[in-house]
This record gives sequence, structure tokens and C-alpha cells, in this order.
Amino acid sequence: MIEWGNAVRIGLMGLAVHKFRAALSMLGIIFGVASVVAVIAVSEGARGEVLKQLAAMGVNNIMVTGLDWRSGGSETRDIKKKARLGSNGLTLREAEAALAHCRLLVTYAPLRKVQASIRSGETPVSADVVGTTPAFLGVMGYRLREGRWFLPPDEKEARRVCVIEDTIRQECFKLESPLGRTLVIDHEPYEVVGVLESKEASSDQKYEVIDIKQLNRRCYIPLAATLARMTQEPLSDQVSEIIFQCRSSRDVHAAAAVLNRCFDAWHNMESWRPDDKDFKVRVAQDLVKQTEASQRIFNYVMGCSAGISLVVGGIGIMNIMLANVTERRREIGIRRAVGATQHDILRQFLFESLSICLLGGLMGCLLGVGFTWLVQYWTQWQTVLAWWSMFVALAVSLLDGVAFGTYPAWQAGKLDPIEALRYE
Amino acid sequence: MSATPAPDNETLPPAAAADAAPVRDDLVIATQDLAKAYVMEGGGVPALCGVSMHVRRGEFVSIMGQSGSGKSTLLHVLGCLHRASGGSYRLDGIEVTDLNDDELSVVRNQKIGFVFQKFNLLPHEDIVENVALPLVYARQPRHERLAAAKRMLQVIGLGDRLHHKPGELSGGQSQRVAIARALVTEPAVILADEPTGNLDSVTGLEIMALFQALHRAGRTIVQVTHDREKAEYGQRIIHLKDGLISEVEVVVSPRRAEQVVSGVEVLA
Repeated sequence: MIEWGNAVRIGLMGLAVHKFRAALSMLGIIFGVASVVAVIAVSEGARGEVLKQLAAMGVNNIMVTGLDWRSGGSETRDIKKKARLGSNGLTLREAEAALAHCRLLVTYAPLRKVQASIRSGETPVSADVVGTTPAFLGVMGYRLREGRWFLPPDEKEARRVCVIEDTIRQECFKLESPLGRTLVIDHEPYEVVGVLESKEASSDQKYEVIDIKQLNRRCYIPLAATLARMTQEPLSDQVSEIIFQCRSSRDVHAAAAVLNRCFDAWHNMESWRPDDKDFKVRVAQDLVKQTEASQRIFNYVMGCSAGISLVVGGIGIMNIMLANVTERRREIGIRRAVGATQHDILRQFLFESLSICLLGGLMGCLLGVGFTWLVQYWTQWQTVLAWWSMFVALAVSLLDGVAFGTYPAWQAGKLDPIEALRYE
Repeated sequence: MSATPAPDNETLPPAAAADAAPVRDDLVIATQDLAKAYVMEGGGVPALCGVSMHVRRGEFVSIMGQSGSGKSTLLHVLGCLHRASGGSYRLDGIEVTDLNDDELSVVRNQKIGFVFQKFNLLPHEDIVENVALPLVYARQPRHERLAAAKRMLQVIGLGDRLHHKPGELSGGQSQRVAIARALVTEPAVILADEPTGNLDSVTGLEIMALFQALHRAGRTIVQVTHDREKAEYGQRIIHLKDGLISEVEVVVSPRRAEQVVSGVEVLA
């Protein structure tokens, strides 16, 4: 066996002779590796972002969401209608009962989303109207930018006040202070009493993993106001969602199980499949897991496509190496004549394909960093360059070199020395 | 130039015959009924049909024959580039007909120095690397093999062109580099295939002078040529015809290439 240093030197020399050809054959590997690096950077960035968003939702929180039976196809609607026959959906009474029943829970904040038009003066505003109670701010851990949050009297008297999120403030009031100004919600005037601080996690709401799509576009009004003025059944205490806060993050799963049992009993749904029930209990921590699961699928899909490009790159390498072997038959003959064994020749050409792949892999890493930067620059997405992705990409490209370089190298090794020497 | 036909068709080496008891250690090449047939679609095509020949250490032998006579095949078999299909072949005391491909590679590396008609230098390596090439496969450390190659090139008179590429050299210089490469492993025999075939007559003479100087320094040389005049620079001429030795001539007074390349004597 000839020494490794020399094998590398000979391999690199082989590349140097046909620089352009080597560069062309590297392209597949370069782009394959670059896409692996960039995709993983984007995916890691997305994961970080989602985790941040979930942290914003509170790790101690359990969300119980009532399903809207009006949505969906006719078939599922029928099933859901049936499901709703036995219950009235989520209600404030249930929330109170659950809080009394389960000692692990500290407090809760109900949410009622309503379809309502909003105007600022004569200009329509795109926003979601959500009714909630004074507890909401504490449960979610949101902070106020200016003004105040709802006080108990607001709720008790169903006052026409609202707290808006930052995007609405920017759109409707620009540089002026919105406090004391009026928004018209379903033809009724509401006084703006506070503005929530913008939630940094939602850097464009691109990840709709959880229901926070309109995170900075909400207009909160007292729940009592919602129930009294915006629903067809004025005496109803139905809400769309209840957020329970747990004593500690360790208890959330136990509390979620209790809540599941409670709502099953109240809605007469013990024997229903989870998907058919009219409510859903979700834990923020589980959402992280769900996110990670969907992230994994994304990674697999992207990994497969990157893998395909690496295979295509490998085929390119094989093609070029076969051409190399044919073209350099005379050199092979000379080396064999002066004492190279078949293994020496095989190793030489294998090193050449490995060098191409390694070099291509390194260039691909650089290009991947460039791609990542461009993606971040153009889309403002959060990206995180993962060093392990580069090691993986390099390892895979080396594997490529072995997998696709072995056959041409073997061909080179088994050439007859005399035939090789006669090659013109 | 005078040459007399030898009566014996190489059944015994002349030296051994003279000594009554054959001294086999004295033989660098000893073949017995060496045969080689090429496998073609329609069956085997014989190229060598039982060649028995000997080359003593320090001899300068020429093999001559028409094209198709089997002289190139004989050189390839002697050079362990092809395996014989029959007979036996001892090279420097080693029976090589039984060796596998890897072992033959080692034999080529250690026992044989090739000089080709077309020089066969690696065009992208400089001439030191070219000369050092056999030492790569002799697993010598890089600094040692480069030192040996430089020494050999200085001896051969190309010490000032160490880092030139083969393309920058004349034909004669290229062939001298090839000879330096053949010598660098101190092989038992130098096999030259039409070494002057690609050179003009003056340069050809230079190469012959170099061979004669190496011969005087004790090297064993076997050259294949179709040129009678070049053959007469050796001590003996083996004539091949249809894959058989037709005649062995002893060259009574070999031609002398007038020019002597300086420094070659150092090789002794």
C-alpha cells in the first residue's frame, strides 16, 4: 500500500490537470451539500421561532378549544352536529367547575372569538375581535405597551372598552397615541384603553403551527361585552377557548388528563373517539412535540430531496471518473509497468473521486452558508446555521465519493498493462 | 561488423557451457519452452511457441525479428507485463510463471527497468517525479525517493532540468529520463523496446552510447529492435521468427557508440 500522503497528492494532481472538468463534476455535490446546509439552517431557525412562540404562550398553560361545528364538509358537519346534541360546547360554568374540581389549576382565561367588523373612523380595519376577562393578561404573560388592561368593572358592566395589539395601533393611529380614541366594532363605539406590546415571536406569522396567526392583529374587548352584544343568544355563556393556568409546568399533563375527563363527562363523550369530540385539550408542551414531529417530516422530505441531488452528483462524479480512466489509460499502463499493483491504481482513482467529493462538499458548505444568508436577507426568516449539518453533508459527500468512485477505480485497476500502454 | 552464428540454440548459456557446471545464479533471465498464446474469439493465437533463452548478468543482448515474429510479446513476457501460457521463466532466480498479479507487480518494480520507444513519461509530473515513480511503488519515503531521482538525473546529465515537464525536453532527453527511471530501483535487468525508434540517428547514437556505458558499468540490458545496426551494439543477437528462436548470433566485435555520456561511469 502506498502512503496516504502520496495517494492524496496524486489524487489532487489528477484533479489539477482537468480543473474545469473537475469543477463541473463537482457541481452536483456542491449544490447537494449547499441545499442540505441551507435547508437545515432554515428548518432549525423555524424550530427556534416556534419554540419562542410557544414559550410566549406559556409552558404552564393548557388550552381547551371548542370545535366549531359549522365549519368543515357536510359529512363531518353531521357528525359534529350529533356531537353537539349532548352538550352546549364550552361554557364559563364549565371553566369554573373545572377550576374548582382540579387543584392543580390556578386560574383560567376564557376567549370568545366573534365575527365583527371594525372601523377606525371610516376606514375598515382587518382584525380579530376577541372577548376575554381581566385574567387573560396574567395567564398569557403579555405586556402592555401603553394604557391599561381590563379591570373587573369593565367586565362586570360590559363596558365598551378595548385593548388593541400593536399592528392595529400602527395601522390606525400611526404616531398618535390611541388611548382615548374610538374604534367602531359592529356599529358600536369602543374606547381604546390599552395597547399590547408586540410579540417578537411573530416575525410575520409564517408558521401556523398554533392558532396565533393573527397574533398582533387582535382587538380584545371584555368577554361580557361580547356575550351581551355580539351573540344571538344573549344569555349564553359559551366561549371558543379556555386557557387554564397550571401551578407548575410539571403538572400540566396530569391536569390535562383531569380536564379531559371532566369535559368528557359534561359533554357525554366518554366513548367518543378523540377526533370526533367537540372539544380538544392541548398542552403547550405537546405542541412543541407536535411541532418537532412536523419538523422531522419536513427534515425527512428535504433530506430526501438533498439526498437525491447528492446521488445525481455522485452519478456525475462516476461519469467523469469513467472518462478520466479511459483518457488516462496510458498513465495507468506506465504506473503498472513500474510496479503499481491493481490496488495501487484503484486507490489512486478512488482518492481522486474522494478529493472531488470532499472539495465539492467544502465548497457546498460555503455556498450553503451563502444560500442561508440570502434566504434570511430576502425573506426575513430566522435561520440557524447548524454545524452538525455541515459534518453530515461532508460525510455524505465522502460516502458519495466512495460509492460512485469505486466502480471507475476498479475498472482502472483491472486494466491490462499492455493494453493500457498501447492507448494513444 | 562481424557476427558469428552460435551453434547452440540457447539450450545452455554459453558461460555455463564453458564452465562445465552451470552456475544458475549467473543467469538473470532463463526461459524454458516459453509459450504465449492470445485468446481470441476464434480460439488461441500463438505468439511464442517455445522459446528457451538465457541472459547472463552483465550481458547486453538484442532481440531481433520481423514484425509479427513475437519479439514484442517476448519482451512483455520477460518484463512480467504478460504471463506466459506455457513453459518456465526464471528471472534473477525467481520462477515468475507461478506468481499472481500483485507479486508480478513487485517483480516488475524490483527486478525490471523498462525503456519504451515512446518514452512513456507522465506528462503532468516534472522529471524528478517521473524518475522517482518506481520508488513510490517500492514504498520509499518521499524525501529518499526524490533524492535518489535527483542523483540519477545528475548522473544521466539532466541535473539542471529537475523540475522541467517532459513536454519541455527533446526526444533524446526524454529517453534519458526514461532510462534514469529504469535505473532508479537498481533492477536486475533493463528491458528496452525499440529505445531509439522515435529518435533521429544522432540522438539514437547517444542513447546507444549510454546503454553501452551502462553495460560497461555492469548492467544487464535486453533490447528489442528491428534495426540490425542498433542490434550490433549488443554482445549477442537473438533472432525470432514465428514465435521461435531462429538463430543466436554472437557479435564478435560490437559497434561502439563514440560518444560517452559523462558521469555514467559513476553508476558502477
